[in-house]
Amino acid sequence: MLRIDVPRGQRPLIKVIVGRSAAQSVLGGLSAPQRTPSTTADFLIDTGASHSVIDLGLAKKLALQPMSQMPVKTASSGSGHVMSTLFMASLSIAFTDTLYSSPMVPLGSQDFGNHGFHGLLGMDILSHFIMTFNGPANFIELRWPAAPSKKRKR
Amino acid sequence: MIAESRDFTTELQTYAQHEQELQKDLYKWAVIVETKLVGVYDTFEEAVMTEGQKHGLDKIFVREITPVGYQHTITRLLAGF
Repeated sequence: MLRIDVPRGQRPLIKVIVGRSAAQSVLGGLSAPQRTPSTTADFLIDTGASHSVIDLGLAKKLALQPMSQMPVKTASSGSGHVMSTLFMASLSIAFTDTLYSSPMVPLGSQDFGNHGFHGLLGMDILSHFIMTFNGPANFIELRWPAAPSKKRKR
Repeated sequence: MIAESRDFTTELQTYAQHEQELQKDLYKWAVIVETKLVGVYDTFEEAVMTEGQKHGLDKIFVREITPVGYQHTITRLLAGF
C-alpha cells in the first residue's frame, strides 16, 4: 500500500524511480556512463493520460533510448496532435512493504518546463493498481493487488 | 548521439504503409527497421529484446499498433504544446 497526501489545492504527485533499462546496455544502445543511470522524480498521477510520460529534459539527462514516435492529443492541441518521442526506461515505485518495478517500459515525452513535476503516471501504469481518492481526507491510497506476497515465518 | 536526436521519418512512413494490415494485431507491438516491418510481438519488452538483439537498439522502431486515427491523450493543459 502507498498513501499519497494531496493537500487541498495541490496536485497528486508520486515519487517514481526512473532510469535506463538494463536492456539498453545489454543490447548496445546509447551509452553515456558519465550520466546518472536513474533518479527519483515527482510524477503527476494523471488518469486523463492514456500513457505515462517523462519530461524530455530528464530523458536526455538519463540518456534514455528513443524507440519511436507517436501522435498525442493534448488539451491545447485542438483538433490536431503533437508528435511525442517514445523512450525505453525502467520504472519503480516504492510501496510500504514492496517495490513495484518494471525493468522495461515505454514512456512518451514532453517538455514540462516549470510545472513542478517530471512526468505523468498514466493509465498504462495505473491500471496495475487499485487507486482510492479520499477527497475529504486529502489523500490517495494506491494498492498493488499483484504484489508478491510475503512468506510468513512459522 | 543524444536521446532525442533519432529521425523516425522513414519508419513512420513505413508504419503508415502497413497500418491497415496491422489492424488485425491491435495493441500488439510492431517493429520496423527503416522500410521493413520485421515483426509483431505481444509486448513491448518482447519486441525490444527479440529485434534489438538482431538489429541493435538504435536501428529498431517499436510502436504499439493502435486503431487507425487513434491518438494517445494527455488531458493536462501544459504550456508550450
